[in-house]
Amino acid sequence: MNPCHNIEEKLYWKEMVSGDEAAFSALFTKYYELLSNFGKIYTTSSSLISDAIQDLFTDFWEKRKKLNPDVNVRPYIYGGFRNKLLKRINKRKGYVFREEPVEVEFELSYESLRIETEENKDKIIQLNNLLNQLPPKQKEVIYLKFYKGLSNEQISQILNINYQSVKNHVYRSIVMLRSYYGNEAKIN
Amino acid sequence: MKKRKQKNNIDDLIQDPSFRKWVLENKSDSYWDGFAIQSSYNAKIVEGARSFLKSFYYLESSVSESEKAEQLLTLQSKLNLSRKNRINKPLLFALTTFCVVIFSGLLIIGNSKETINEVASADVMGEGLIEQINNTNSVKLITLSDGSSVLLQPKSKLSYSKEFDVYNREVFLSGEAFFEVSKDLMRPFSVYSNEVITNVHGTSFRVIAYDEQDEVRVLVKSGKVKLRKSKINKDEYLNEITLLPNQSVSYNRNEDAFQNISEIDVEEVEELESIDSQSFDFVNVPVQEVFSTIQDIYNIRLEYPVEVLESCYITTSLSDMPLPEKLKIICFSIGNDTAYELVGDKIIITSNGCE
Repeated sequence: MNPCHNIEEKLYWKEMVSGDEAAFSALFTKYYELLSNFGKIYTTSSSLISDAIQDLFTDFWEKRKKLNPDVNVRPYIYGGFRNKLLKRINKRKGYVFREEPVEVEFELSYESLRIETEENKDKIIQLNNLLNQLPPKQKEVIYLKFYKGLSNEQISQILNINYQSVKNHVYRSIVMLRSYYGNEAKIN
Repeated sequence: MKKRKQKNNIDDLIQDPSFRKWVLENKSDSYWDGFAIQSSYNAKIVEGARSFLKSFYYLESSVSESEKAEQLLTLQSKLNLSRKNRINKPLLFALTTFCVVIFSGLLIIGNSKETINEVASADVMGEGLIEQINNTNSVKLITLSDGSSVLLQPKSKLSYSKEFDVYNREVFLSGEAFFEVSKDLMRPFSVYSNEVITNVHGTSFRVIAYDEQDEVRVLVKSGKVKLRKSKINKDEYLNEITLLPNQSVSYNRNEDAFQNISEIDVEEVEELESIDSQSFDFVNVPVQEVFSTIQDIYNIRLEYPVEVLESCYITTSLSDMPLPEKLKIICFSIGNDTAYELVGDKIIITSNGCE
């Protein structure tokens, strides 16, 4: 990640906590797309996603005096958003006490997949099917680790699980990938 | 050069930030370019890791500026905040000097005229921002860091950052230019020109926006182009115009409104003999002819071994792609280790002849 982003984020966050409206708006604009995309692994409903983003930032502003100005911004926002979104999803499904995602789905956008060659497209779809068979928690870890490039430490903060279980999930994913590609390599 | 740990496995690759960048941002990276062709084993793991990352890439889609703006407005009104998004704290400016471009990208929602002024002053601050002015009498080729090509017309000015942000690609135009934008679904490419913002992902189009003229005009050659006003009145959020190939639209600056979309008059464009009407479809054409077309259209000097390539013919379709991609494909079709290099204002082709 570009170091600029981190410095900038930290600044915006600090300014927001001290009551700066412009910094608050800037932070919202910066995170809106990132969170929208993150939300897609939990639900296909874009209104649930945008509502959850609104919930999160409303909380930030209303409770800004209680927020820690030196928080690790990225995992804090991702984690907060995930909580808000799961709350909304579970409420819609009628679960009151559940705090974990019922399902995590890597749904491909076939519209944009069109630019790939047929061969690549097949590969991507095949891999996507494979990934979708994994348990929800492992999928979340895979998404944040391998796609978003976050550290195990950050992931443990976002998903609110301990560091060791993040490591275990990462390890299991690597084993899965190795066996998948290992088989493929043997064919040739 | 930094020494890299030996990469032996697919998971080593996907955990490497520079590899991810190489795949997802489609940027050339000499290390990975070389690594991929070192051995068939390498080629295999690169291919595997690439489809893995790509399978995630297609989960995502970009959010339109208007949706962001609308959502921000909802939030602001709910919390009774003022609408101004400008940040004018000197401290913040000082600390983010080297982040100027990313920073200005965040301010756009409010009033883009202000943003443009800020970018102009950001140039004085000097970091990372390039301003190109064409004072000559002919078009000037500019190649951007994402591989996109811009043909800047005389008396026109283009400002852009040396390296684009990871979330978007933004350029500022005053005057006229033709854009061939490299495809990148993750990062929209935006042209800010007077009161109009043009958003695309990978297309070719012309923007005409001279300061002294009453209108801003956009003409589309290929792909889909989205336009909107940079200064949005409260009730106008979703007013985004979509143009398809061969369509054009004008924005009237006095009336602050877009006119009706119209089909581009083919004769008018052909008369220009410019890039707009050039199809770049070549069927069994001598390589020299292809090169001379490129020289004329892009107004750039091409040096190539004339005798070696004398009897080479190619058949290819190069429309709708930026110049570096065109050259790559031409070199590939000639084969035999043919390569190109962009050196300043000329292109050097090296070749051992065709196969």
